[in-house]
Order: sequence, then C-alpha cells, then structure tokens
Amino acid sequence: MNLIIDKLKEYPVAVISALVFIGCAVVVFMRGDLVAELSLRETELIAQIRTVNDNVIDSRNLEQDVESLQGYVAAIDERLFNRNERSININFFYSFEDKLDIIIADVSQLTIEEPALIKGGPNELSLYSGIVYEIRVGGTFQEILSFMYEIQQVDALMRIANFEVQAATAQRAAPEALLAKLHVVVLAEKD
Amino acid sequence: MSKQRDIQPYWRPDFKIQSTLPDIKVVRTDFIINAIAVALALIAAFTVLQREYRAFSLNRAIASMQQSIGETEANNNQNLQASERFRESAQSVVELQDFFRAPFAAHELLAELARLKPAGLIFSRVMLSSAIIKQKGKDSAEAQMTYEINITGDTRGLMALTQFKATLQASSSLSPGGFEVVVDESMQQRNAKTGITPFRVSISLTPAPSSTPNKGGEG
Repeated sequence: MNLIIDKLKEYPVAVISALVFIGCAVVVFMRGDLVAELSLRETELIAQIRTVNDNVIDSRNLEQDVESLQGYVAAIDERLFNRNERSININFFYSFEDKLDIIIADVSQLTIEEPALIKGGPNELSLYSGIVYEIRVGGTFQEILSFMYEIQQVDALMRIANFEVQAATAQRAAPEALLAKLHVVVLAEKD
Repeated sequence: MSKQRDIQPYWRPDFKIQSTLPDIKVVRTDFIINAIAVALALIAAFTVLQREYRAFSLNRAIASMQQSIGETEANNNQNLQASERFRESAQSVVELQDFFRAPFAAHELLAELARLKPAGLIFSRVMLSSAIIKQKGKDSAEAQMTYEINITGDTRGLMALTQFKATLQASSSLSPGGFEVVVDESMQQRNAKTGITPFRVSISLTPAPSSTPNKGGEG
C-alpha cells in the first residue's frame, strides 16, 4: 500500500492517467458490443424502410388491379361446375342437341381426374379441380367439328383433352356419318 | 516535482548513493513516464468518446427511423394486405391459364388435319391422346405433357401418303413451340383386288429438352 502511495506521490499525473486509461478500458470492454448491435439494428431498419418504400412504389394502382382481378375471379367462380350436381352437368352437354343438329349418344362423368391437373401433374391445380366427361356424339364431320368448337367457346370453362373421331360402322349409317368420343375436361370447384 | 531524497549527513553528496544524484538525462524520466501515461489516457478517452458519440448518433438515427416506420406502418400494412389479395386472385388466373394450357385446340387440330388431307387419302379414324412423362430437371423429375395424334385410313396411291406426311411435317400448326415433332407412317398389306392400302400416320409431340418454362405446352 505504501508503495502505491509512494508512486502516487512520485508520479501523480501518470497514476491518474493510468486510472483514466483503466476506466476507459473497462468502459470499452463493457459497452464494446453496443456499437456493433446498434449498427446491425440500423442496417435492419434501413432495409425495412427500403422495403416499405418499395411497397409504396409497387402498390401504385394496386387496389384498382385487385378489384379488376377479383372481378375476373368472380367471373371464373360463376362458371365452375359442381362435381356433385351430376344431372345438371350432364344435362348441360345434352342441351347442345337443341343448339346444333347433332346426336349426343352418351355423356358420362368419369370418376378419374385429368392426370395433368392433379397434384404432381404438369398443370397442377390447387384452387380448382377438373372433372372429365366422356361424350359420344354422332354426326357429319361439320356437325362434330361445330360441336367441338362450341365446347371450346361456351361460357363454362372447358376444353377437349383427347378425342377420337371415326367413321360410323352401323349398317344403316350414312356414308358421311362419323362417331366421336371426346374427353372434355371442365374446370370445377375444389372438392 | 517533489522527490524523496535520503538525508545527507555530510556536507557533500556521496556519489556511491545513486538516488542522491541529480537526474542529468536530456529528457527526464518523470517526463517520459508522464507523457506516455497521459498519451495513453488521452487515446483511451478519445476512443471511448468516439464510440459513445457513435452510439449516441446511432440511437438517434434508430429512433428517427423507428418513428418513420411507425408513421407508415398502417399504410404499409394496407399495401401488404392488398398485395396478398392480389396474389390470391392472381393465383386463380394463373390456374385458369394452366387449365387451358395445350399446344393446340382440338377443333382447330381436326380442321387442320382435314384441310391438309390430300384427295387420294380416306381417313377412317383420327385420334388425339395425351400422356404425362417425367423428365429429369435440375432438381428433380419434372412432369411434362406429351401428345400423340394417330390417323388411320386407306389410300390407293402411296404417293398421296408421302405427300401427306411431308405436308404434316411442314405444317406450322402441328409444330407448336417447345415440342419436338416426329411424324411417322406405317402401311398394312395392300388389298390386291381393290388396290387399297391401309395406312397409319402418327404424329408425336414430346417436350423439347430446353422447354422447361412451358410444362404442359403453350397457352
């Protein structure tokens, strides 16, 4: 103790300076990570502000676009088939007989789904599903082509995935009579 | 600066006792020690002050940014909600595009085949079928659509069949982008009495190797 007092008396400025140095070292040690933490927080906030500003730029006219898109979605939803309304759905296809001069021999709703649209398929649907109908129809080439055209143009959302058109083989069939087997996929509500 | 000195009992210093001798160095030891100590203390103090000032500035900037974010938070949340609604709605439209994705419309294909048919051929059956194949992509096997068009019929002259095959190969309607198209024909035995040869033409559409964007064909 005496030694310290002696040194303090001998080098008072040096001792005080040493105490200041030690004090500063302690402060740096205790608060050393503070600046790094604050810098990190500042970087995060700058990124957040940039994101907010980008959102403002990206959101120009977004409400109008959303309303427009929701209008399209509502139009899609109105046209969806319901898988459980089998009679209504099948009758929809038979109604083409009234519009076109064509004989629809059979319409059946298949239990299998279009492989392209199910999970893992190349055109997988998550919000909707696809119902497959097998339609057998007889008529001339023009009539069958008209029917296929109408299927594509009708309000409901459907397309012909596969088809087979062949000459009618019945004895009384006209020479130009054809039979067509169509696989029509219809966009439907999700199960 | 005071310095403790030994009490000299004699009238002159004893040069054997070094502590009684005066400091005759050019720069005195006291000065060097004090100068180093003061310099170190100043450096340490400057470092601490600089760091504290930096922390103070950062705190002020952070507070300002937090206030700014707080003021725009409501508007930002509204934008995010609108964006989420947009994304959900857009997904419906994307799925509608996926649903209709095919290299051609069935009625257009049938009409095109009828248009390309030469006079010397008679079609007895036209068939379009599709299948899914798995092609190895970058990460995993990717499902892709393939299409097969089969035409069977009769002909009296094989030149008409050759012409038909060439026409099919040249047709742009039957060569949609992103697909490799292979046209092949086969014939059965010619009927000696009628001179009619049954034939079969198949058109295969398989995804081209670089056609990853259009998984199921073109929209």
